[in-house]
Amino acid sequence: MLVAFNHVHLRYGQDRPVLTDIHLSVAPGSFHFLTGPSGAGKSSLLRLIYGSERPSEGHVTLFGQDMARLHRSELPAMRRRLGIVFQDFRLIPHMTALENAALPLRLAGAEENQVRAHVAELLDWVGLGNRAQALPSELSGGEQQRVAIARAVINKPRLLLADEPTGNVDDESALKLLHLFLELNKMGTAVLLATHQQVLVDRLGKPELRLRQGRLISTTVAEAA
Amino acid sequence: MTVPSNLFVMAFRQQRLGLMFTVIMAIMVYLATLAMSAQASLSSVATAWGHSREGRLTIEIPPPDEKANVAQSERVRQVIAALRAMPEVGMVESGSDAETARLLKPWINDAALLRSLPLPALIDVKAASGWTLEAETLRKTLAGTIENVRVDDHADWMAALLRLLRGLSLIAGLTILLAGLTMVIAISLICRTAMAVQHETIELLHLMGATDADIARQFQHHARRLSFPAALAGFGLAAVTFAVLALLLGHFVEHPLLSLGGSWLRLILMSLSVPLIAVAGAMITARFSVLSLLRRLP
Repeated sequence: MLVAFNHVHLRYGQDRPVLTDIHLSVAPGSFHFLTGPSGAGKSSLLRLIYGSERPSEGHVTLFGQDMARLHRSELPAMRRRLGIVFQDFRLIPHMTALENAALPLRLAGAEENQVRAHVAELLDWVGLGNRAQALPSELSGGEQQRVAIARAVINKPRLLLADEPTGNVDDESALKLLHLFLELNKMGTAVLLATHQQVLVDRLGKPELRLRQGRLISTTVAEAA
Repeated sequence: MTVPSNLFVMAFRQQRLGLMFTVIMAIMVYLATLAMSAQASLSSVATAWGHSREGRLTIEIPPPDEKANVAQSERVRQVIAALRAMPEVGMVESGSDAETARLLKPWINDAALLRSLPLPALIDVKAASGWTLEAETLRKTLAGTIENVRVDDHADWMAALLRLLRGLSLIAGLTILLAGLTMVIAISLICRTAMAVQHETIELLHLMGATDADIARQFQHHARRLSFPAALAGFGLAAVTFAVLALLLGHFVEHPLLSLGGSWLRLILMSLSVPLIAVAGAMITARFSVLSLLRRLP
């Protein structure tokens, strides 16, 4: 399993628990929707996966490693195997689309000619081949999210986490983005996509992990692709 | 891993953090260079004074009164002879009238008047190698030769002056230390502000797998880029200030006792070390203040 939650609880101090007794697993090559209303705990669950939070109880395992036992210095290597897409895109405003998408490769110390070739190919794939030199401020919401997706998958991650990726784009762009995620999934990348837009979930008919008030109320076991 | 070099450019541009960094750095380097120059000069002068007057005494022979039947030149000769007979005396040098006139020139610039004045004769005495010259011993020995001979021991007033110089040197050293500390605090605060401005970018980099050291290195490079021209500007301004001061104090500096002699090279090298140390300090401060904050992040 890529991800396994074993009776995971998450709470901040004495507040109401954010997540209660979460038990789930994500198989390689699977596609999961993580659904639920705002405040249901979707983002917190994703944060537990990429190690920005630690569970109050239970165990989160990523790529077979218990996240609680992982030393802080071991996190970067683990995170390089993940791709993450956010609702607010998180593009660096003074960098072009190409530079933003190239960031993970440059962080990994890739050769510049490889970076250019690979990024150009990926921007073509997301339909932004002709906007490589545009700054985020010159791109629409949908285009910015496509740059963010290119950035998230440039290192060929085994697992892509998307936190409300269609939340800030119009319906047409949302559908285009979903198709990109499906294509990625077909290429072997497992996708865990958090959304509160039930219409998108219904349209694609993929397995769904439904959260309500921090509890997982319905689970569909994912099939390997 | 290499974080692209322009990643945190905006962090330093926002809130004019880069400008603040540069200005603070330039001011601190200016103050520290001036203080370092002052400290080095004062130390050199104090050392030179100490060496030049070490083991030296001055014998003052007042002019003979009208009733005396011995000429002043004869009195001087007798004193010199008595001094040379003492094993502890190494060098005896009688000051010429011209030297006396030179010393008095700032106050009496009239050769005729000077000649008419009953000026004392001055004899400079230096201890023989391995001997100590006691003013009291000299006074007793010379009392049997000439009346009213005065033995001037420079040690007393020199000690007070040296204490003053060393005190000033200490203050200069303290100023350097405070300038350094202020710079470290200011850079640390600027880096923390830049990090707060760019916390989302930092989180993003972490999520992409960047290590704390990768991110801290970026801030370190920025600190180098900003501090290098700032340090040069501060140093240049300090050099100009020091040159102007030297020009204004030229009259005193030309005096043998105030001259730095061969210490100029040392002074220049020590002053040059200030901007270099400041740039290195800025880089180290930026790196470690960022690292210490990053380590507190989840």
